[in-house]
Amino acid sequence: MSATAAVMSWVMHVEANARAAPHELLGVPPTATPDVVQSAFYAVAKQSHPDRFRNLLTPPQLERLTRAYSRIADAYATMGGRVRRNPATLTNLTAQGSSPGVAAAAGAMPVFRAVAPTTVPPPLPKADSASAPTEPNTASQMNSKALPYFRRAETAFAANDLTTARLQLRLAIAADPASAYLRRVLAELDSPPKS
Amino acid sequence: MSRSQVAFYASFLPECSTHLRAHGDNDAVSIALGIDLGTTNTVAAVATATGVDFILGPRGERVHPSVVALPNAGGIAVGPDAKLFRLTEPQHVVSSAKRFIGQNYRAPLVQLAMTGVSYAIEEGANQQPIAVLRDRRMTMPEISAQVLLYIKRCAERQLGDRVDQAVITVPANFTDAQRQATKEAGRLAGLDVMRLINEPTAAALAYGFGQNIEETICVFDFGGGTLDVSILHIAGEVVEVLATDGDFFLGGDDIDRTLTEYLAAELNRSQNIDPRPHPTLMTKLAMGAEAIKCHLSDYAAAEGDIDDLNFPGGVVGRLPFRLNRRTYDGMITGYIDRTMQVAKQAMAAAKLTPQQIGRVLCVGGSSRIPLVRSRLAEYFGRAPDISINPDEVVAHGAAIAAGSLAGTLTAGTGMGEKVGSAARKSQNPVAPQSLNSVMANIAALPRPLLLDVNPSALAIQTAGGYTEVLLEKNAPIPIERSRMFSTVRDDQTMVEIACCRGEQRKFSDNEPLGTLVLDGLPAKRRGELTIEVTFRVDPDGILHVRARDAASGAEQKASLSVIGAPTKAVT
Repeated sequence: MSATAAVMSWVMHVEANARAAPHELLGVPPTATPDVVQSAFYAVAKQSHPDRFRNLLTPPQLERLTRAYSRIADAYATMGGRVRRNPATLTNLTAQGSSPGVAAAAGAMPVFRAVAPTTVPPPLPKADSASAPTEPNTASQMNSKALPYFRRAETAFAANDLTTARLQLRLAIAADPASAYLRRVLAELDSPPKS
Repeated sequence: MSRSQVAFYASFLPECSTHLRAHGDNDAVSIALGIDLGTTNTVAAVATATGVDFILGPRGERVHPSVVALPNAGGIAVGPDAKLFRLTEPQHVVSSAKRFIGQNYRAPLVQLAMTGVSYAIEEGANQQPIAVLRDRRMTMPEISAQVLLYIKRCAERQLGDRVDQAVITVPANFTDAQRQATKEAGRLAGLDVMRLINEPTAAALAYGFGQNIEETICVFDFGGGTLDVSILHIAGEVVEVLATDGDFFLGGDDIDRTLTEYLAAELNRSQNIDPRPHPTLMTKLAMGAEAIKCHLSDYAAAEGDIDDLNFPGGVVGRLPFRLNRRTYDGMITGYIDRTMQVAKQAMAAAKLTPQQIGRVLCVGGSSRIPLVRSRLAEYFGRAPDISINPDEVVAHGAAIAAGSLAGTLTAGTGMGEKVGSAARKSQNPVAPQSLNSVMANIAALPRPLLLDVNPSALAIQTAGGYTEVLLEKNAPIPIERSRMFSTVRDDQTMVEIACCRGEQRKFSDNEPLGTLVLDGLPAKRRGELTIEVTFRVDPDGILHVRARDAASGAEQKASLSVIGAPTKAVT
């Protein structure tokens, strides 16, 4: 059997088991340690990575190989990879109760709702305050992108480093041009102290 | 032949030629370039039997400015020649095009970056930024294509053969649109872009290839316009990216701008001339600033004059300056703090401690700044590796990747490789389990294998404007993942799948990617319809989205209309 025939039979094997559990696709026990998972993935990559077959397969074959390899990559990521990334929650197909009222707010275009895993509580509307544990009053003056810059500006200002403070404030304004609060702070910083 | 037939053939031909290229190449020697298409400079290399050869410019230079000029005299100047026009007609010279390629013109950071360039930028089709030079409007891919064409011609002159394949490197945190636009630039330059690879990955490849080591390294890539920090695991020929993080708008250009502002303030203070409204004068100061920056990387102080300043009113004057490193460090410390913060984020994502990093590789010209190196040494507890040339290592790795993909790679191309190590490497330690020994033979010359990651979370919008992440940040690519969703309303026959990049809980806080519409669904009660959404990220890091009604199998495979991506129709 040639190398191309071998890899294509591997592709068929993966396609046939597309719905298998991640550890089955990788051929490791469900309790495998990150190191074992990683070596299993490296073994697959060394033998079946599409880059290895770029010049050996026809474009449709290569497409199928890429698909099959992508499934293994998904399995690897789902098992947490080498570094135990946050494993994705497996999709739960059971329909959840509706969340009334939200659809109407979205305008004419129908919106879309994730089938939430049963273990996860429904989204809380006030979730954003989690990103700003301190001083919710300043945090509410800008969007969450501007906030990290603003915090850095505060730190720099506390250290009496006005150049950095101004720079970070300008970045914050760039991230949230609509925030009048940020502009006011920058204006205060730019105007000389009244004595 | 009728008119319509002519049109038919004309539209058919380009596809025909790519088809031939894909199949007819195995016997012909194909030359594949590795190109580091940078914000300020471009470096290209080709892997040969004896090592890696860098592509030289007409005057023997290895580094080519990524600058394109449309001078008054006519024609197009690229590279060092174009850079010269910055003095005489700065408004006709495009530099830092990489900052705008594939970007949304309306994005706040793009608006900020626009204030730092000397040429005019307008909004074009699909919200893409367009450079306006005299009577011409050029898209950013067209400008980058000029740089690539210049490199291609240099390479063809040097190698005496046609060059039509390339691997181009991009910052790890490049978005979909930026990747598509970069590929488009390659296509416009007549190159078959075999792969886009991430710059830090290329650097790690250049460092690790052929060394047969097992090590976890940090690549700190601080270039002219962008910062990328990647944590990689090298095991023999496998290079796996564990985590990557970056700041797209942070680089040497910012430091140049800070120094330019300092010089402008100095000029205003000492000679009461405000240079800010005068582009030529500002360009001159910016060039001085860049020289001062480079000088301060090697020496503790910089002192001198910037000569030949054309002051308003026809007076030619000079600006004396004196700057020591301490003052300079104070001016740039805000930027350097930010770089270290990115490094810490990448380390946190890889769940590693600084002690677990075996080596810190510095890449990109800005990593030469002493403050950067001392801060890195402080954090990692070891001095960063400066034995490699930070300007060339990315192109070196790209050349190895290109050779590997084109199947022309031979032993002896790695940076740290010793002569004769090919024999040692040829014994493959991993015995194939399910596949036969023919496969093992193919792997006998260990071609490097890049296992790259998806740089940022990819998600869709769900009811109430929330974000549902489908592919997490740092997932390996290529990857494909499906999730099931259902409808929120009774008799909903249409769903709109808005996709974004980022993992902020509120959808609108993320960067929009585009929208896919799945239409003609059967009317059912809410929650009874199951729709399967599949995200596929291809080896170039480009996202493809599919949606399917799980019951009927009706599918909508529209590619996203990506905001800022190049469109065929150029205004």
